[in-house]
Amino acid sequence: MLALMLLACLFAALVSFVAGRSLRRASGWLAALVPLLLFGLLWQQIPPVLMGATPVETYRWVEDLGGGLAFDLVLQLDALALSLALLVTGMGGLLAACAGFYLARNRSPGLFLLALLGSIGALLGLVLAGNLPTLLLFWHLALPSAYLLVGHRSEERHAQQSAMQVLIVGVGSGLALLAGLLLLGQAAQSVGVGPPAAYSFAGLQAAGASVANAPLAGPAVILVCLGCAGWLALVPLHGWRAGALAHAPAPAGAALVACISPGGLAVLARLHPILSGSPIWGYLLLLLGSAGLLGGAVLALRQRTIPMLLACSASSYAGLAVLLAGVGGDYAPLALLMTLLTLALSHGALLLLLGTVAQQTGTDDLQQLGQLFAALPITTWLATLAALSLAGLPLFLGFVARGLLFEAIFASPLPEPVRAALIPICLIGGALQMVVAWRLVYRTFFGTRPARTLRPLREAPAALLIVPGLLVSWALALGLPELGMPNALRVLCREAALVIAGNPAGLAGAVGPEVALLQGLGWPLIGSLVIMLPGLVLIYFEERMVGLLASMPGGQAAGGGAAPLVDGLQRGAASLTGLLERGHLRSYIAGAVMVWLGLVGPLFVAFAFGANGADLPPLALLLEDIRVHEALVILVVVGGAILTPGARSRREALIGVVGVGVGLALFFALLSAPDLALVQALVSAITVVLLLLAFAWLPRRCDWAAPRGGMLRDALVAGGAGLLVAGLTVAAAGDQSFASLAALPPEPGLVANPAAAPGSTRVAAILADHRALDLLGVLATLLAVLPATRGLLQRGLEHLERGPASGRGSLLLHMALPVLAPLLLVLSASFLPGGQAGPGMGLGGGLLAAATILLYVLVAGPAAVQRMLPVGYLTMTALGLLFAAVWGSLGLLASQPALAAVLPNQTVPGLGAIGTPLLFNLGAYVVVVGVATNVALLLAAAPATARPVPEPPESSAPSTPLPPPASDAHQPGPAANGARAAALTAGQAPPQDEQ
Amino acid sequence: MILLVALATGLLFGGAIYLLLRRSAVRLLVGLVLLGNGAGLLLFTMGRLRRARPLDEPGAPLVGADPLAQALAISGVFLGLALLVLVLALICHAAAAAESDDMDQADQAPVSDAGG
Repeated sequence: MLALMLLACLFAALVSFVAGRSLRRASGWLAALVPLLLFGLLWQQIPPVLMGATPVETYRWVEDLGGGLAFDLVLQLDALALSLALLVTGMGGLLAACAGFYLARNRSPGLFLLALLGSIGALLGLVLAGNLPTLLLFWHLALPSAYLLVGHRSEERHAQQSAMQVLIVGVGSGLALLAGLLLLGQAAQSVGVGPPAAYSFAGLQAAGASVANAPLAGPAVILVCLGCAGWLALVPLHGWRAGALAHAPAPAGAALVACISPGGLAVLARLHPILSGSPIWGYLLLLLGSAGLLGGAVLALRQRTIPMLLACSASSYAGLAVLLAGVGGDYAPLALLMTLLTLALSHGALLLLLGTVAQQTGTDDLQQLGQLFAALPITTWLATLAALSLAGLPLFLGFVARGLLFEAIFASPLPEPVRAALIPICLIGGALQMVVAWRLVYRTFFGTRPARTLRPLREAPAALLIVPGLLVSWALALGLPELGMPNALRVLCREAALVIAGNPAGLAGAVGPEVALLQGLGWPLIGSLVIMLPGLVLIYFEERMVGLLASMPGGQAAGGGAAPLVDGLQRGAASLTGLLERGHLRSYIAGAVMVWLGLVGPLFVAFAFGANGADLPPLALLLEDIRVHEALVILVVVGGAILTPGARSRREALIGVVGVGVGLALFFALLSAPDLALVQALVSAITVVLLLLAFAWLPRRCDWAAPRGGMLRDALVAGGAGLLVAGLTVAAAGDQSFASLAALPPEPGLVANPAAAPGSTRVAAILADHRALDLLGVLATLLAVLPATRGLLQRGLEHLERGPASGRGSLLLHMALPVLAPLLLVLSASFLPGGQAGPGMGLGGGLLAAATILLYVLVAGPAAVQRMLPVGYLTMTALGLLFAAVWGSLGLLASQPALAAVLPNQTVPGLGAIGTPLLFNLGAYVVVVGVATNVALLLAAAPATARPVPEPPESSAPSTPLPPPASDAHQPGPAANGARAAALTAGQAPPQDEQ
Repeated sequence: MILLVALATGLLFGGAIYLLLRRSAVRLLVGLVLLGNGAGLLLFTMGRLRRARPLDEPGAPLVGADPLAQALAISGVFLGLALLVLVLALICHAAAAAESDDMDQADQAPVSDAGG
């Protein structure tokens, strides 16, 4: 049921987002339905929860992270969760109902309602969370919706900044909390709590005080407290909420104060029974709370605008709640809950009411408002009642909270001097809060000067009065426990307080403190009346005090504290982006290589030269067993690798590439890898042909001679990368932890003739069977490249279909080809069945066939080859892949894994071994042929514009891979460049003209 | 022996990265080819070097190069080919539009002209 509630919130959020477009303001009422419905459902849960039932729902989330660490999604509904959930859903529903009226008329409220319901859902999840991962999940889910809420007026720069502040503070607090809770889990494991229990509240609590006294618990406590202080906007970190309240619509501000603050306090309340044993937990909370209480109240008096004042006042109340969490004892949890309720109800009502005032008068500046009482009597009454509750006057919730506060301090287990110090702090804080409440209402609605308004004032629509009215009446009802507060709620609050105190079996066992107003004229009552005295005195001096505070340095900057930080962060991010995003491929590559070097390089150096240096194979092993012919082959590769980067012409570069390709193929062949050698040789040949064809597209104007800029830097980066790769190769050579597959006996069924199967044929078996999914992926990649190439080389495609069917090849090749080509094709086909019994396979065969066709392209011209085949090459390739996939999926029909060899190769006389592997290979063959041929054809049909104008260079037909057009050979000097450019411009004939 | 192979692998990678960092489109293409070759050699070397039989000799002992490393290298070579083809097409398209081998100018070339 709990999970369904969360899903209902999500669903309602999405529905109201859609409905907001058509229903406009009325969509708020629709959106309010679900939270209010949830409120009702939760209300019905009060009796069973009070009877001791605690529904817990557990969902598997992360199955197993290794070491038995699995995370579940745990939701639980105990008294604490229930009371906070009632607050969140009730407030959320009311805010949603009136939200539509506060938003600009010309904009759909859908996005706002989406954010509002989203944050309600996230906070509901937060208060229901039963373990640390769930808590963190919902904490972070609340962030984006808070961001959207605050940034609703997205066209205003201040709203954008405030939203950014919310995000930055929220992410920062979230990270602190994440680190803190992870440390807490570690601390629990260090004292012997198992992984699942170490991350659940119940498990941690069961472990007792040993967790709180573990060495890691100290940092955990600090991080958790910092995270909560940021989220609750306690005074040093209050800037984000001041900015948010000043620039967001009133319901958003009310949601921030009344729904999101309970989230932060819920975390503290959940962790309190676990961490209260820690020596620093209480004192840290007292410190943060006192600073928040006094700082918030003082800052509130310095503010000129209503939202800023309310923001600082809310910070002050949140500080009081945090302080109470640190006080401990029997009464403190109850006082905490009452303070939280006062904070939420009164601030929520005031924000909504004064939001309508600001809308009507067009200003929220306290100095320009005044004497609105006559025009807005109902608003005035409601605001006054809410402010009286804030001030802690009798009959109101605030009064109960104050009384419990002092009772809690007296009943606290803290040492005597601390308690003595707390009393003046709370007295001064309470007095200042009274002044704040008085100032707010008096300056707005009474005051000495009348407000200058643009138009006659009228009471706000009824809906806007009903919602704050409900909140105020709750503040009244809860303040009169004996008269107004339903008995169930009273017991619920007591039970919730017992949960915070870590004694959930309250009903059965010890009797906790009651929420009481008039439990006799005890001295707590007198105390709470006494604390009103300094407040009254201060109210008398309000004007002077405010003047004094305003004249102090620091100016008006309540929200200003975080603004420079946010600006700085944004500027830093922008300059970092500018630094990284140069828009040049080479800067991205350089960045990636340098990151790789920076990450892997130090590790490798530590490995090679550190204490474990012995892990590197000895030099003798590296140098042993060098044979002259292999060394020569390697030196060909080395020569090619040196020649290519230093090449001064395309010809030299191509020679280097050929050297590398042929050298590698020979090397593979010598080291008994015939399959790889075959593929390497054929791919090298095809690559060179494609490069040659592509060079015809590329203009001759190039910077071969003088590449501009940063050669040394690039050489350093590249050299470092090369060195690291070489080092890794050497390091891997010493590793003996994996046995080679080569020595294993062949499996029957996969290989046609196991007795005759040499080790190398396993490659075919691996490719076509064990790793057939890889092969299918390779084929799909090849196929995917084809349409992209066709799209990019569109111009070539048109040229191809209309071009002349004449080749430029040598006469000798032209004559030899009709004899040569069928032989080569037959040879390539013979690789297919051989794929299981000898070197070669579908891929290799396809490559050979493609190389043959490429020879045709060079000799007979692309157009002739294009017309040779009735079906398009793209179709052919796709059919090939389909063919391979169909044979591969046969395994599924035979209830075997996909791509299994369902029909092992059977030897058919005259044809070789035939079975599903062979058919699969046939598909691969077709794909390779289709892709290679098609790309070559497209590249071969280079547009006339890209070709050099004089024909002679082309006449040295590239019939063999090596010689590029002759004009490339000499160096393009500046003068030659100019002349060539002129020739290019002159020869820019479109293809049509050429025909 | 492995030292020589490591030298070749390092040179292939270093040279390839140096070429990829140049402004010239042709050098980019060539660098990509070298990188593919280097990756193939690296993958093959990871299966350790073994020289049992150079090529198919009947009756020779069964031990050859590690087939898994070979299969991986073959997949890698083919993927390298596919990548090269795509980059070839992209660069031909861009360079034909910019009428320059300089990648920086290809960056700024009007794209709409290129379709012909």
